[in-house]
Amino acid sequence: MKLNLNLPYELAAGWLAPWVDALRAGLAIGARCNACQAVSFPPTRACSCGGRDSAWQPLPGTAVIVYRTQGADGTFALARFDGAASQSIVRLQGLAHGDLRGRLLRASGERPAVVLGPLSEGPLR
Amino acid sequence: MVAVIGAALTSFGRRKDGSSFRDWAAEAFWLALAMAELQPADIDALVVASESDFFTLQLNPAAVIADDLGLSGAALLRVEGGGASGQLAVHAGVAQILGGLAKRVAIIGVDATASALPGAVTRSLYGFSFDAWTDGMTGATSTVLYALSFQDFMARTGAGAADLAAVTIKNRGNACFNTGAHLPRRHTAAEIAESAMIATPYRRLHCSPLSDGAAAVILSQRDAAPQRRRTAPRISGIGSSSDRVGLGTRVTPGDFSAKRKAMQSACRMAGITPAKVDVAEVYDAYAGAELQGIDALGLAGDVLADLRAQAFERDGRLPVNLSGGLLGQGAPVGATGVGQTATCALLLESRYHSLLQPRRALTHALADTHGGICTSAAVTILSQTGAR
Repeated sequence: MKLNLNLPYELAAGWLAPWVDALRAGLAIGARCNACQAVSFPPTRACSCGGRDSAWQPLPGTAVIVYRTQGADGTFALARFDGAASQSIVRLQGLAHGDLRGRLLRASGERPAVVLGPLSEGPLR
Repeated sequence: MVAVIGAALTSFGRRKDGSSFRDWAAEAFWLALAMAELQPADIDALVVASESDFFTLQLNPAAVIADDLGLSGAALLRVEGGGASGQLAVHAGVAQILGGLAKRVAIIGVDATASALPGAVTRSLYGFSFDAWTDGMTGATSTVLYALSFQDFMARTGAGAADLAAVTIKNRGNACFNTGAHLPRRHTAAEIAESAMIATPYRRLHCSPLSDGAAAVILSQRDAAPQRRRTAPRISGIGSSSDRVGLGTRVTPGDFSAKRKAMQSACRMAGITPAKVDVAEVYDAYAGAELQGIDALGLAGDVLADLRAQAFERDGRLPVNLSGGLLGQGAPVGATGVGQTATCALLLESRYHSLLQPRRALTHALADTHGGICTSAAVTILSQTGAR
Protein backbone atom coordinates (compact mmCIF):
# COMPACT_ATOMS: atom_id res chain seq x y z
CA MET A 1 0.00 0.00 0.00
CA LYS A 2 1.72 3.17 -1.19
CA LEU A 3 0.95 6.52 0.39
CA ASN A 4 2.53 9.83 -0.46
CA LEU A 5 1.73 12.17 2.39
CA ASN A 6 2.53 15.84 2.05
CA LEU A 7 2.89 17.56 5.41
CA PRO A 8 3.04 21.37 5.15
CA TYR A 9 4.38 21.77 8.65
CA GLU A 10 4.25 25.06 10.54
CA LEU A 11 6.77 25.09 13.36
CA ALA A 12 6.09 28.13 15.52
CA ALA A 13 9.18 29.86 16.88
CA GLY A 14 7.47 30.59 20.20
CA TRP A 15 9.74 32.17 22.81
CA LEU A 16 12.66 31.75 20.41
CA ALA A 17 11.11 34.22 17.94
CA PRO A 18 13.59 37.05 18.69
CA TRP A 19 16.52 34.68 18.17
CA VAL A 20 15.04 33.34 14.92
CA ASP A 21 14.37 36.87 13.64
CA ALA A 22 17.94 37.86 14.50
CA LEU A 23 19.38 34.88 12.61
CA ARG A 24 17.36 35.88 9.56
CA ALA A 25 18.92 39.34 9.84
CA GLY A 26 22.38 37.85 10.21
CA LEU A 27 22.65 38.86 13.86
CA ALA A 28 23.50 36.80 16.92
CA ILE A 29 21.65 37.32 20.15
CA GLY A 30 21.95 35.13 23.20
CA ALA A 31 19.97 34.78 26.41
CA ARG A 32 21.64 36.34 29.45
CA CYS A 33 20.56 34.69 32.70
CA ASN A 34 19.32 37.29 35.17
CA ALA A 35 20.65 35.21 38.05
CA CYS A 36 24.22 34.32 37.01
CA GLN A 37 24.68 36.59 33.95
CA ALA A 38 25.87 33.63 31.81
CA VAL A 39 24.92 34.03 28.16
CA SER A 40 23.67 31.03 26.20
CA PHE A 41 23.79 30.74 22.42
CA PRO A 42 21.64 29.14 21.22
CA PRO A 43 19.46 30.50 23.99
CA THR A 44 18.23 28.18 26.70
CA ARG A 45 15.05 28.90 28.58
CA ALA A 46 16.34 27.44 31.85
CA CYS A 47 19.91 28.27 32.83
CA SER A 48 22.21 25.57 34.21
CA CYS A 49 22.39 27.63 37.42
CA GLY A 50 18.67 27.14 37.93
CA GLY A 51 17.73 30.63 36.79
CA ARG A 52 14.49 30.88 34.81
CA ASP A 53 14.52 34.52 33.77
CA SER A 54 16.74 35.94 31.07
CA ALA A 55 17.14 38.93 28.79
CA TRP A 56 18.23 39.07 25.17
CA GLN A 57 21.90 39.97 24.74
CA PRO A 58 23.39 41.07 21.39
CA LEU A 59 26.62 39.24 20.54
CA PRO A 60 29.35 40.23 18.07
CA GLY A 61 28.51 37.26 15.84
CA THR A 62 32.03 35.88 15.77
CA ALA A 63 32.82 32.41 17.06
CA VAL A 64 35.68 30.01 17.69
CA ILE A 65 35.44 26.46 16.40
CA VAL A 66 35.87 23.85 19.12
CA TYR A 67 35.23 20.61 17.21
CA ARG A 68 34.66 20.20 13.49
CA THR A 69 33.21 17.33 11.46
CA GLN A 70 32.86 16.86 7.73
CA GLY A 71 31.73 14.21 5.29
CA ALA A 72 28.71 13.21 3.26
CA ASP A 73 26.38 14.88 5.78
CA GLY A 74 28.09 18.27 5.30
CA THR A 75 30.53 20.34 7.33
CA PHE A 76 29.49 21.24 10.85
CA ALA A 77 31.13 22.29 14.08
CA LEU A 78 30.59 22.83 17.73
CA ALA A 79 31.52 26.49 18.16
CA ARG A 80 31.50 29.03 20.95
CA PHE A 81 30.21 32.48 20.01
CA ASP A 82 32.17 35.35 21.50
CA GLY A 83 30.35 36.55 24.58
CA ALA A 84 28.56 33.22 25.16
CA ALA A 85 29.30 30.68 27.86
CA SER A 86 27.77 27.76 25.97
CA GLN A 87 28.54 26.30 22.56
CA SER A 88 26.40 25.94 19.46
CA ILE A 89 26.04 23.51 16.59
CA VAL A 90 26.87 25.47 13.43
CA ARG A 91 27.07 24.68 9.74
CA LEU A 92 30.32 25.84 8.16
CA GLN A 93 30.27 27.57 4.81
CA GLY A 94 33.29 28.81 2.93
CA LEU A 95 35.73 28.29 5.77
CA ALA A 96 39.11 26.73 5.05
CA HIS A 97 39.97 23.57 6.95
CA GLY A 98 42.48 25.40 9.15
CA ASP A 99 40.18 28.30 10.00
CA LEU A 100 39.48 28.30 13.70
CA ARG A 101 37.23 31.34 13.77
CA GLY A 102 34.28 32.50 11.75
CA ARG A 103 31.39 34.92 11.59
CA LEU A 104 27.66 34.28 11.59
CA LEU A 105 26.14 34.50 8.13
CA ARG A 106 22.63 35.68 7.40
CA ALA A 107 20.30 32.67 7.31
CA SER A 108 19.12 32.18 3.76
CA GLY A 109 15.86 30.52 2.79
CA GLU A 110 13.03 29.76 5.17
CA ARG A 111 15.06 27.88 7.72
CA PRO A 112 16.84 29.91 10.42
CA ALA A 113 20.09 27.96 10.24
CA VAL A 114 23.15 28.86 12.30
CA VAL A 115 25.83 29.19 9.62
CA LEU A 116 29.40 30.26 10.18
CA GLY A 117 31.42 31.76 7.34
CA PRO A 118 34.80 33.51 6.97
CA LEU A 119 35.50 36.39 9.32
CA SER A 120 35.66 38.73 6.36
CA GLU A 121 32.04 37.99 5.44
CA GLY A 122 28.75 38.63 7.14
CA PRO A 123 26.74 41.78 7.77
CA LEU A 124 28.42 44.73 9.42
CA ARG A 125 27.02 45.59 12.81
CA MET B 1 9.78 -8.54 42.84
CA VAL B 2 9.31 -8.49 39.06
CA ALA B 3 10.32 -11.50 36.99
CA VAL B 4 10.88 -11.67 33.22
CA ILE B 5 8.99 -14.88 32.52
CA GLY B 6 8.79 -14.55 28.75
CA ALA B 7 11.17 -13.05 26.20
CA ALA B 8 11.37 -13.11 22.42
CA LEU B 9 12.64 -11.17 19.42
CA THR B 10 11.74 -11.37 15.76
CA SER B 11 14.57 -11.18 13.29
CA PHE B 12 15.72 -7.60 12.71
CA GLY B 13 16.36 -6.33 9.19
CA ARG B 14 14.76 -4.67 6.22
CA ARG B 15 11.49 -6.53 5.66
CA LYS B 16 10.54 -6.99 2.05
CA ASP B 17 8.02 -9.80 2.53
CA GLY B 18 4.86 -7.71 2.74
CA SER B 19 4.52 -8.16 6.50
CA SER B 20 3.68 -5.20 8.74
CA PHE B 21 4.66 -4.03 12.19
CA ARG B 22 1.46 -5.63 13.47
CA ASP B 23 2.67 -9.02 12.25
CA TRP B 24 6.07 -8.57 13.90
CA ALA B 25 4.50 -7.47 17.19
CA ALA B 26 2.27 -10.54 17.13
CA GLU B 27 5.16 -12.88 16.34
CA ALA B 28 7.24 -11.60 19.26
CA PHE B 29 4.26 -11.54 21.64
CA TRP B 30 3.11 -15.12 20.99
CA LEU B 31 6.63 -16.47 21.40
CA ALA B 32 7.12 -14.61 24.68
CA LEU B 33 3.67 -15.60 25.96
CA ALA B 34 4.36 -19.27 25.20
CA MET B 35 7.64 -19.08 27.11
CA ALA B 36 5.73 -17.49 30.00
CA GLU B 37 3.18 -20.33 29.91
CA LEU B 38 0.31 -17.82 29.95
CA GLN B 39 -2.77 -16.99 27.88
CA PRO B 40 -3.85 -13.53 26.66
CA ALA B 41 -6.52 -13.35 29.37
CA ASP B 42 -3.73 -13.52 31.98
CA ILE B 43 -2.27 -10.19 30.83
CA ASP B 44 -3.41 -7.18 32.86
CA ALA B 45 -1.65 -4.48 30.86
CA LEU B 46 0.12 -3.95 27.55
CA VAL B 47 2.88 -1.39 27.17
CA VAL B 48 3.99 -0.64 23.61
CA ALA B 49 7.27 1.07 22.81
CA SER B 50 7.26 2.80 19.44
CA GLU B 51 9.48 5.74 18.68
CA SER B 52 7.49 7.50 16.05
CA ASP B 53 4.07 7.67 14.45
CA PHE B 54 5.95 8.29 11.22
CA PHE B 55 6.91 4.60 11.23
CA THR B 56 3.52 3.15 12.18
CA LEU B 57 1.03 5.74 10.90
CA GLN B 58 -0.76 5.13 14.19
CA LEU B 59 -1.17 7.77 16.86
CA ASN B 60 -2.10 4.92 19.18
CA PRO B 61 -0.32 1.76 18.01
CA ALA B 62 -1.06 -0.05 21.29
CA ALA B 63 -4.76 -0.12 20.37
CA VAL B 64 -4.38 -2.01 17.08
CA ILE B 65 -1.75 -4.32 18.56
CA ALA B 66 -3.96 -5.16 21.55
CA ASP B 67 -6.87 -5.81 19.20
CA ASP B 68 -4.75 -8.18 17.12
CA LEU B 69 -3.61 -10.08 20.20
CA GLY B 70 -6.96 -10.53 21.91
CA LEU B 71 -5.97 -8.23 24.74
CA SER B 72 -9.16 -6.15 24.78
CA GLY B 73 -9.83 -5.19 28.35
CA ALA B 74 -6.17 -4.89 29.27
CA ALA B 75 -4.82 -1.48 30.25
CA LEU B 76 -2.96 0.06 27.31
CA LEU B 77 -0.02 2.42 27.32
CA ARG B 78 2.38 3.65 24.67
CA VAL B 79 5.85 4.80 25.72
CA GLU B 80 8.14 7.02 23.65
CA GLY B 81 11.57 8.22 24.65
CA GLY B 82 13.57 8.26 21.43
CA GLY B 83 16.14 5.48 21.39
CA ALA B 84 15.32 4.73 25.02
CA SER B 85 11.67 3.97 24.24
CA GLY B 86 11.95 0.22 24.74
CA GLN B 87 13.83 0.38 28.00
CA LEU B 88 11.45 3.02 29.34
CA ALA B 89 8.51 0.78 28.41
CA VAL B 90 10.07 -2.00 30.49
CA HIS B 91 10.41 0.48 33.35
CA ALA B 92 6.74 1.45 32.98
CA GLY B 93 5.77 -2.20 33.26
CA VAL B 94 7.94 -2.69 36.33
CA ALA B 95 6.34 0.37 37.92
CA GLN B 96 2.84 -0.97 37.23
CA ILE B 97 3.65 -4.25 38.97
CA LEU B 98 5.54 -2.73 41.89
CA GLY B 99 2.77 -0.16 42.29
CA GLY B 100 0.14 -2.86 42.50
CA LEU B 101 -1.69 -1.79 39.34
CA ALA B 102 -1.03 -5.06 37.50
CA LYS B 103 0.33 -8.54 38.13
CA ARG B 104 1.35 -9.51 34.61
CA VAL B 105 2.36 -7.00 31.95
CA ALA B 106 3.29 -7.55 28.32
CA ILE B 107 5.88 -5.18 26.87
CA ILE B 108 6.13 -5.01 23.09
CA GLY B 109 8.64 -2.88 21.25
CA VAL B 110 8.19 -2.43 17.53
CA ASP B 111 9.07 -0.06 14.71
CA ALA B 112 9.19 -0.19 10.94
CA THR B 113 12.26 2.04 10.92
CA ALA B 114 13.65 0.59 7.69
CA SER B 115 10.67 0.01 5.45
CA ALA B 116 8.03 2.61 6.28
CA LEU B 117 9.84 5.56 4.71
CA PRO B 118 12.76 6.08 2.32
CA GLY B 119 16.04 6.19 4.22
CA ALA B 120 16.72 9.80 3.29
CA VAL B 121 13.34 10.84 4.71
CA THR B 122 13.97 8.99 7.95
CA ARG B 123 17.42 10.56 8.30
CA SER B 124 15.86 13.97 7.71
CA LEU B 125 13.26 13.33 10.41
CA TYR B 126 15.99 12.23 12.79
CA GLY B 127 17.85 15.43 12.05
CA PHE B 128 14.90 17.42 13.35
CA SER B 129 14.32 15.11 16.29
CA PHE B 130 17.06 16.40 18.60
CA ASP B 131 16.05 20.07 18.67
CA ALA B 132 14.12 21.08 15.59
CA TRP B 133 14.38 24.82 16.34
CA THR B 134 18.18 24.92 16.55
CA ASP B 135 20.20 21.87 15.41
CA GLY B 136 17.38 20.74 13.13
CA MET B 137 17.03 24.02 11.26
CA THR B 138 20.81 24.18 10.92
CA GLY B 139 20.73 20.82 9.13
CA ALA B 140 22.77 18.74 11.55
CA THR B 141 22.11 15.02 11.22
CA SER B 142 22.20 12.39 13.93
CA THR B 143 25.63 11.30 12.69
CA VAL B 144 26.95 14.87 12.84
CA LEU B 145 25.84 15.29 16.45
CA TYR B 146 27.19 11.91 17.55
CA ALA B 147 30.46 12.67 15.74
CA LEU B 148 30.94 15.99 17.53
CA SER B 149 30.18 14.36 20.87
CA PHE B 150 32.68 11.59 20.15
CA GLN B 151 35.35 14.10 19.12
CA ASP B 152 35.19 15.48 22.63
CA PHE B 153 35.56 11.95 24.00
CA MET B 154 38.54 11.41 21.68
CA ALA B 155 40.19 14.62 22.86
CA ARG B 156 39.89 13.54 26.48
CA THR B 157 40.79 9.85 26.13
CA GLY B 158 42.92 9.40 23.02
CA ALA B 159 40.41 7.10 21.33
CA GLY B 160 40.99 6.71 17.60
CA ALA B 161 40.00 5.05 14.36
CA ALA B 162 41.43 1.67 15.42
CA ASP B 163 39.15 1.67 18.47
CA LEU B 164 36.10 2.46 16.36
CA ALA B 165 37.02 -0.34 13.99
CA ALA B 166 37.45 -2.77 16.89
CA VAL B 167 33.92 -2.08 18.11
CA THR B 168 32.40 -2.52 14.65
CA ILE B 169 34.34 -5.74 14.01
CA LYS B 170 33.37 -7.14 17.43
CA ASN B 171 29.66 -6.39 17.21
CA ARG B 172 29.11 -7.38 13.59
CA GLY B 173 31.22 -10.49 14.28
CA ASN B 174 28.96 -11.42 17.19
CA ALA B 175 25.98 -10.89 14.90
CA CYS B 176 27.29 -13.74 12.73
CA PHE B 177 26.11 -16.13 15.46
CA ASN B 178 22.72 -14.41 15.89
CA THR B 179 20.33 -15.85 13.33
CA GLY B 180 18.03 -12.84 13.68
CA ALA B 181 20.68 -10.17 13.05
CA HIS B 182 20.43 -7.52 10.36
CA LEU B 183 24.15 -7.17 9.61
CA PRO B 184 26.17 -10.30 10.36
CA ARG B 185 29.51 -9.33 8.87
CA ARG B 186 33.16 -10.20 9.21
CA HIS B 187 34.60 -6.77 8.50
CA THR B 188 38.29 -5.98 8.27
CA ALA B 189 39.82 -2.76 9.52
CA ALA B 190 40.82 -1.93 5.94
CA GLU B 191 37.26 -2.37 4.70
CA ILE B 192 36.00 -0.06 7.43
CA ALA B 193 38.66 2.53 6.66
CA GLU B 194 37.62 2.54 3.01
CA SER B 195 33.90 2.99 3.68
CA ALA B 196 32.37 6.38 3.00
CA MET B 197 33.03 9.17 5.46
CA ILE B 198 29.69 10.40 6.81
CA ALA B 199 30.88 12.82 9.51
CA THR B 200 34.44 12.61 10.79
CA PRO B 201 35.39 10.35 12.46
CA TYR B 202 32.33 8.28 11.59
CA ARG B 203 32.42 6.24 8.42
CA ARG B 204 29.44 4.33 7.09
CA LEU B 205 30.53 1.09 8.75
CA HIS B 206 30.68 2.77 12.16
CA CYS B 207 26.93 3.50 11.94
CA SER B 208 24.03 1.23 12.94
CA PRO B 209 21.44 0.46 10.27
CA LEU B 210 17.75 1.35 10.15
CA SER B 211 15.87 -1.88 10.81
CA ASP B 212 12.40 -3.37 11.08
CA GLY B 213 11.42 -5.74 13.85
CA ALA B 214 9.82 -6.37 17.21
CA ALA B 215 10.62 -7.76 20.62
CA ALA B 216 8.48 -8.69 23.61
CA VAL B 217 8.90 -9.53 27.26
CA ILE B 218 6.31 -10.72 29.74
CA LEU B 219 6.79 -9.29 33.22
CA SER B 220 5.14 -10.85 36.23
CA GLN B 221 4.90 -10.38 39.91
CA ARG B 222 6.83 -13.44 40.99
CA ASP B 223 3.95 -14.95 42.98
CA ALA B 224 1.60 -14.45 40.02
CA ALA B 225 3.82 -16.38 37.60
CA PRO B 226 3.13 -19.99 36.64
CA GLN B 227 4.93 -22.30 39.06
CA ARG B 228 7.55 -23.41 36.54
CA ARG B 229 8.45 -19.82 35.68
CA ARG B 230 8.99 -18.57 39.20
CA THR B 231 12.75 -19.10 38.93
CA ALA B 232 12.95 -16.84 35.88
CA PRO B 233 15.37 -13.88 36.06
CA ARG B 234 14.14 -10.86 37.94
CA ILE B 235 14.53 -7.18 37.23
CA SER B 236 16.67 -6.13 40.15
CA GLY B 237 17.34 -2.53 39.22
CA ILE B 238 16.08 0.18 36.91
CA GLY B 239 17.35 3.71 36.49
CA SER B 240 16.79 6.64 34.19
CA SER B 241 18.06 10.18 33.96
CA SER B 242 18.46 13.02 31.50
CA ASP B 243 20.90 15.64 30.25
CA ARG B 244 20.62 19.01 28.52
CA VAL B 245 19.45 18.59 24.92
CA GLY B 246 22.08 20.80 23.31
CA LEU B 247 25.60 19.36 23.20
CA GLY B 248 26.95 22.87 23.59
CA THR B 249 24.99 23.40 26.79
CA ARG B 250 26.68 20.45 28.49
CA VAL B 251 29.84 20.87 30.55
CA THR B 252 31.48 17.96 28.72
CA PRO B 253 29.80 17.24 25.36
CA GLY B 254 31.38 13.81 25.05
CA ASP B 255 30.42 12.55 28.48
CA PHE B 256 27.20 10.54 28.77
CA SER B 257 26.49 11.84 32.26
CA ALA B 258 22.79 10.89 32.14
CA LYS B 259 23.84 7.29 31.65
CA ARG B 260 26.14 7.51 34.66
CA LYS B 261 23.30 8.76 36.86
CA ALA B 262 20.86 6.15 35.53
CA MET B 263 23.37 3.39 36.22
CA GLN B 264 23.99 4.63 39.73
CA SER B 265 20.25 4.51 40.43
CA ALA B 266 19.88 1.03 38.97
CA CYS B 267 22.89 -0.33 40.88
CA ARG B 268 21.60 1.18 44.12
CA MET B 269 18.24 -0.54 43.58
CA ALA B 270 19.91 -3.84 42.68
CA GLY B 271 22.40 -3.64 45.53
CA ILE B 272 25.39 -4.20 43.27
CA THR B 273 28.29 -2.25 41.78
CA PRO B 274 28.97 -2.07 38.03
CA ALA B 275 31.85 -4.52 38.55
CA LYS B 276 29.30 -7.24 39.29
CA VAL B 277 27.78 -7.07 35.80
CA ASP B 278 28.60 -10.27 33.89
CA VAL B 279 27.29 -9.34 30.46
CA ALA B 280 25.99 -6.09 28.94
CA GLU B 281 23.96 -4.92 25.99
CA VAL B 282 25.14 -1.34 25.47
CA TYR B 283 23.52 1.23 23.15
CA ASP B 284 25.83 1.40 20.14
CA ALA B 285 23.98 3.53 17.62
CA TYR B 286 27.53 4.45 16.54
CA ALA B 287 30.73 2.57 17.32
CA GLY B 288 32.04 5.37 19.52
CA ALA B 289 28.81 5.57 21.49
CA GLU B 290 29.53 2.09 22.84
CA LEU B 291 32.84 3.33 24.25
CA GLN B 292 31.25 6.46 25.70
CA GLY B 293 28.55 4.23 27.17
CA ILE B 294 30.88 1.69 28.77
CA ASP B 295 32.83 4.57 30.27
CA ALA B 296 29.77 6.29 31.73
CA LEU B 297 28.24 3.05 32.98
CA GLY B 298 31.38 2.40 35.02
CA LEU B 299 31.92 -0.99 33.41
CA ALA B 300 35.63 -0.32 32.94
CA GLY B 301 38.27 1.65 34.78
CA ASP B 302 39.92 2.42 31.44
CA VAL B 303 37.57 1.63 28.60
CA LEU B 304 40.22 1.92 25.88
CA ALA B 305 42.72 -0.29 27.71
CA ASP B 306 40.02 -2.91 28.23
CA LEU B 307 38.85 -2.66 24.62
CA ARG B 308 42.41 -3.11 23.38
CA ALA B 309 42.85 -6.06 25.77
CA GLN B 310 39.71 -7.59 24.19
CA ALA B 311 37.83 -7.57 27.50
CA PHE B 312 34.52 -6.96 25.71
CA GLU B 313 34.81 -9.86 23.25
CA ARG B 314 32.62 -12.96 23.43
CA ASP B 315 35.13 -14.76 25.65
CA GLY B 316 36.36 -11.65 27.44
CA ARG B 317 35.97 -10.43 31.00
CA LEU B 318 32.74 -8.62 30.19
CA PRO B 319 31.10 -9.53 26.89
CA VAL B 320 29.44 -6.43 25.46
CA ASN B 321 26.75 -6.70 22.81
CA LEU B 322 26.79 -10.44 22.31
CA SER B 323 23.65 -9.92 20.22
CA GLY B 324 25.63 -7.77 17.82
CA GLY B 325 24.13 -4.62 19.31
CA LEU B 326 22.54 -1.99 17.14
CA LEU B 327 25.54 -2.18 14.82
CA GLY B 328 25.09 -5.87 14.10
CA GLN B 329 21.70 -7.04 15.26
CA GLY B 330 20.05 -3.88 14.00
CA ALA B 331 17.94 -1.01 15.27
CA PRO B 332 14.14 -1.08 14.98
CA VAL B 333 14.04 1.69 17.54
CA GLY B 334 11.06 0.81 19.72
CA ALA B 335 12.15 -2.82 19.73
CA THR B 336 15.75 -2.05 20.65
CA GLY B 337 15.44 -1.64 24.41
CA VAL B 338 12.84 -4.40 24.76
CA GLY B 339 15.08 -6.64 22.69
CA GLN B 340 18.04 -5.87 24.94
CA THR B 341 16.00 -6.85 28.01
CA ALA B 342 14.82 -10.01 26.27
CA THR B 343 18.39 -10.85 25.31
CA CYS B 344 19.60 -10.39 28.88
CA ALA B 345 16.79 -12.60 30.21
CA LEU B 346 17.54 -15.34 27.69
CA LEU B 347 21.27 -15.16 28.50
CA LEU B 348 20.61 -15.46 32.25
CA GLU B 349 18.43 -18.52 31.59
CA SER B 350 21.08 -20.03 29.27
CA ARG B 351 18.51 -20.02 26.46
CA TYR B 352 20.33 -17.66 24.07
CA HIS B 353 21.88 -18.54 20.70
CA SER B 354 24.17 -21.44 21.59
CA LEU B 355 27.35 -20.03 20.08
CA LEU B 356 26.85 -16.72 21.91
CA GLN B 357 25.85 -18.17 25.27
CA PRO B 358 28.80 -17.75 27.67
CA ARG B 359 30.02 -21.00 29.18
CA ARG B 360 30.24 -19.54 32.66
CA ALA B 361 27.18 -18.99 34.84
CA LEU B 362 25.77 -15.47 34.67
CA THR B 363 24.27 -13.64 37.62
CA HIS B 364 23.77 -10.02 36.53
CA ALA B 365 23.07 -8.66 33.03
CA LEU B 366 22.75 -5.03 32.00
CA ALA B 367 20.54 -3.54 29.28
CA ASP B 368 21.38 0.07 28.37
CA THR B 369 19.75 2.51 25.98
CA HIS B 370 19.43 6.21 25.44
CA GLY B 371 17.54 8.70 23.35
CA GLY B 372 19.10 11.76 21.75
CA ILE B 373 22.86 12.05 22.23
CA CYS B 374 22.34 10.37 25.60
CA THR B 375 19.78 13.00 26.50
CA SER B 376 17.33 10.45 27.96
CA ALA B 377 19.11 7.47 29.48
CA ALA B 378 17.51 4.28 30.74
CA VAL B 379 19.21 1.15 32.09
CA THR B 380 17.87 -2.12 33.46
CA ILE B 381 19.70 -4.72 35.54
CA LEU B 382 18.45 -8.31 35.44
CA SER B 383 19.61 -10.87 37.96
CA GLN B 384 19.44 -14.61 38.25
CA THR B 385 20.14 -15.25 41.87
CA GLY B 386 17.32 -17.59 42.91
CA ALA B 387 17.16 -21.37 42.74
CA ARG B 388 17.19 -22.66 39.18
